[in-house]
Amino acid sequence: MPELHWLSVTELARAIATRAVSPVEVVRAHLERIEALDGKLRAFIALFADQALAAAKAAEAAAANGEALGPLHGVPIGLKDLYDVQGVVTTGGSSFLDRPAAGDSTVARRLREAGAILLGKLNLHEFAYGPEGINRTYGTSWNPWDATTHRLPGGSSSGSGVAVAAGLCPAAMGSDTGGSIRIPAALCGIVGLKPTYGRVSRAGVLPLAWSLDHAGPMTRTVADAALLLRVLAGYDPRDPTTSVLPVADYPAALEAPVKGLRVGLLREGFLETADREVQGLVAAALKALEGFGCAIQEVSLPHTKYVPAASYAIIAAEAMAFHEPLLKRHAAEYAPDVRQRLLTGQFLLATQYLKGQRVRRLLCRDVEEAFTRVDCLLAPTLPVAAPPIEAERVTINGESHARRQAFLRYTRPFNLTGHPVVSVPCGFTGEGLPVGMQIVGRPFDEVTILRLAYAYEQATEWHRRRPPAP
Amino acid sequence: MTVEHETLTRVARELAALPVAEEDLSSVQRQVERGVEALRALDELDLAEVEPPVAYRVV
Repeated sequence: MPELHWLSVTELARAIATRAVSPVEVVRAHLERIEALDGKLRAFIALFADQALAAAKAAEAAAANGEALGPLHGVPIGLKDLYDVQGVVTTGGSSFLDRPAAGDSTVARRLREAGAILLGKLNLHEFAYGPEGINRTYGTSWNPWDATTHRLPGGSSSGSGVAVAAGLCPAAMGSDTGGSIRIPAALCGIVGLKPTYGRVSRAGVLPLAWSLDHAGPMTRTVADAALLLRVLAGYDPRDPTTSVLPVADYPAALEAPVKGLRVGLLREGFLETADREVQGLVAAALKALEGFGCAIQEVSLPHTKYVPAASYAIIAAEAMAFHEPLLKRHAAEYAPDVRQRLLTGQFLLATQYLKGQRVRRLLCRDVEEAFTRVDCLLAPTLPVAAPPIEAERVTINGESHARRQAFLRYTRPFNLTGHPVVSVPCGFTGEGLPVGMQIVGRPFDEVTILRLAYAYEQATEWHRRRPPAP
Repeated sequence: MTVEHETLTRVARELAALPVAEEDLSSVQRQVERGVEALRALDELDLAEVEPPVAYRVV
């Protein structure tokens, strides 16, 4: 058996259910790895070592007694520090939030009900307001794919990306307002799933922008993302945006053939503006999909160029509306980049916010129109691989671009539209840094994107690569 | 386009909720200017028939 910390969620759950391994061994293996590596990686903000070991012992006893076990029985999972866990402070990555949560977020509750063991809270860009994953309070997480240069992990779910990639936990929860699950997933070489808006409850999750926030899993395999979505998805009376549509058996649907699927390549405004090395890796992935019998055709979303303006208006207004009372009391304690970004929100007109919302409708129409001709869309997740932490700008095909805008360019459109997207590893640059691609589906059709991602993953070796020891 | 510091501080003081500290003014100014510029690009769109997706469901 491989080292326990490199087993997937699916493998761990199976090994625990068949009593090939004890949950206590599994939790200890992860705690030891965190102890050894997290001083440098800085993925965790809080570790629940004692509680996790106690839960593991209870899980071990339940397995020994032949009790009915949940699908995640005994598997340790981390949560971005935006998710409430009863009795624990949700810091949001800030230095000043200090009130313990009165109850569990719905996600934490569903994970526990499925048998998962909550391992700890993970680092993030302060209040999730940044795609780089920078955090001055807890230290910026270290991208594990470069042991010598401190490269950006991507954000805002930086600790989740790093912890899963480095084998500190087999899966973690992230949240995604402009790309915050998919960006760190791509830069850290793992799978990130942003489900359809309304598929997974955000009750008990500290908001950034209510109409754009999505909760979703980050894992090392597509099968694990499917398994977690099966546990997490569904209507929640605590979150009025959740849907009553039935939840599919995502893991069972993975093996269905993908032959005949029509894949729409987003070239204009997406692939064509990516770094040539990224373009090459996505082109190779497209060839693999063609080899499965998928039909590739180019599609375009005519209103993509308006996405930055619409996103800005919506995020700035909604984020400032939420943070206003906190800013009144703690302005000096915010990270300067986050505080300054928030303050711009008070200079927006209500009409500009609504204009952003109306543009959102146009973009939805673009995507709906594309889905009359194809079954899913495909694009790179980012135009570049992980840059060093100090690089304020990135070079793409010889041209200098602002890092933040470059990071968000391909992910933000689908926060506006709410469509489900999975980011999967599609290769490595010459420097050994991972690159990801996005597969976008129709609303609530996570089955199709996970099926295609799984077929691609099974035909490639990217998910089997491990980062160098730090 | 430019937004003067004085305008920002006056709007913040008289209309908005929070003052902008001296050390944040330049960054907020740049971001507001960039944002306004970006939002102007939306003026070329015909939004007459487009309803924003923010209506509440009754149940």
